[in-house]
Amino acid sequence: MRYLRLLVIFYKNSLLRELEYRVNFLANAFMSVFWLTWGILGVSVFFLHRNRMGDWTFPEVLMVVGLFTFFEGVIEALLRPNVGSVIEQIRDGTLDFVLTKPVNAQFIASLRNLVIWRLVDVIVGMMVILYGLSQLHITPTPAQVVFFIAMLISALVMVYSIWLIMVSLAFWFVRIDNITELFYAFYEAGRYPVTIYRGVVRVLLTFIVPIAFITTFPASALLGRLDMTTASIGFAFALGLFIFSNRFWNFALRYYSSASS
Amino acid sequence: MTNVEGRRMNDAGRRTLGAQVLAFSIFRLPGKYAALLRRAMGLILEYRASIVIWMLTGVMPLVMLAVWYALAESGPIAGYSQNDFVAYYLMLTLVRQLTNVWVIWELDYEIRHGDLSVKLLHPINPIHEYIATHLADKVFRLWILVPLALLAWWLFPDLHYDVTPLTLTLWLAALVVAWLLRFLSQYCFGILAFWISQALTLNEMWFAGMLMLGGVVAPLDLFPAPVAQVANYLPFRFMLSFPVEILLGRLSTSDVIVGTLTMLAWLAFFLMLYRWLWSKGIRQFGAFGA
Repeated sequence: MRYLRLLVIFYKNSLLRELEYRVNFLANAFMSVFWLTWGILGVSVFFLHRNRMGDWTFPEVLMVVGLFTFFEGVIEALLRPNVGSVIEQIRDGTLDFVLTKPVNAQFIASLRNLVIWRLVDVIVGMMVILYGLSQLHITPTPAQVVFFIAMLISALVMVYSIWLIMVSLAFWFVRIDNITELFYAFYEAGRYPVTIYRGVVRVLLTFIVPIAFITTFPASALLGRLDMTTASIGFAFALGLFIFSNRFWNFALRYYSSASS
Repeated sequence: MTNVEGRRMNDAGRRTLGAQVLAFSIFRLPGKYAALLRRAMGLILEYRASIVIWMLTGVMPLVMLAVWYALAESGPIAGYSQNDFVAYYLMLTLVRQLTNVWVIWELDYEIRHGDLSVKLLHPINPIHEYIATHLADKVFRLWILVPLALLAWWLFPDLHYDVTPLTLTLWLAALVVAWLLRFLSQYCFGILAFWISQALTLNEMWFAGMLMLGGVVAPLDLFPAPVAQVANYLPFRFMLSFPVEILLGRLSTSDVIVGTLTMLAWLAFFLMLYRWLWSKGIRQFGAFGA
């Protein structure tokens, strides 16, 4: 409860800070629609030549594109700003102020800032998923919706964990800014259903950089195509990644040579 | 800032403007460039780990290759077999690595934080310092790319490129111009930071345009004919795709001639745009201090 109240305070503070830059809101809203259109046009090029992408029809692929945009919003709104500030704090030694607070350090370090404008992507992404569904003339059963939400939550946990691992790396490598760019480069592969990829690439995108669990499998769940085994692997994977990232963060903290030392 | 300093900065602006007239009379530059390059090489080597990571972020063409490769499993797409896609996208990856540009982030930062005024005091137009760092980055990248290219050649012995002394020369020229176009266009967006706060956003849209119509999402022939026809004359094609097309041997002689002329026209356009924007911007910048 106390943590929830803190989050409310944090985000009210973030919001007030950002209201000063209203042009950013317009620019971000515009760019999120721009990139979404870009993504859909890109997918359309494939469908000019083939009527399926790895067994997925156009509206089905749209749902993957929607999830891609949704998570891009989550990352840009919540993860990137915090990673950025932690890296800065490590460099300047001001992480001391976070560590000495009577609250879990991981909580503050990873959830303190929110760039509210980027939530536009989250909303737009959701709209594309709904549009895809309406094009398919499918109404998912309540069970499928629950399944979808469960997969969505496990995907959120995975994304969060991956970013926490990246932050933790900053304790050793001070110039880590571009590791996050590297994540994006691979995330790019998540615009399309993972079934399109063959062999090693698919294994890599499922189990090493679990992008399949982030953009493809929640869509499969909503379409009623996800089997229980894959879903369970997803949950187990999310939990494992979460525990690992937490351990790794605590381990990395020990290498923090604060400001005075 | 005091008035004296302001005036000094204005003088610096004017001096660089003067220097700029001479800047493109390349004869004066080699000596200075050698010095700039030596310094830039040291800088780049210091950040070599970062650069390797940056290189890895350029994998998008390979993602697109994976997709097209799978789609072409059931037969060629618009004349592109699986092998053609491999040849196309490996070359595109190479071209993208060798034409990579990041100057706008430096320029935007230095304009907004005022660091640019220090550079303006140097007896050489700042653009040459940026060019030197970019060149040093390419030298470093070549070290890594040449072995990788040889490895790819060995792994895919069926890759077919149309390699003759003529196409190779044209490829090299198109590669240099592609880099110049990417650099100059990004530089122009960077100069806009003198006036607006969203210069990076505009550049992002330009970049998106290049990914779409510069041949990354798909080879340009795979777009609907009207789109492809327009794209053939847009600058994006000459920022990435054109050197690849030359080596792929799918262009007729007249295509190559028209393409080369269009490419040179865009180069002239961006050179003039840069010089015009820079002279306007530098006055604007001086006005902050005065």
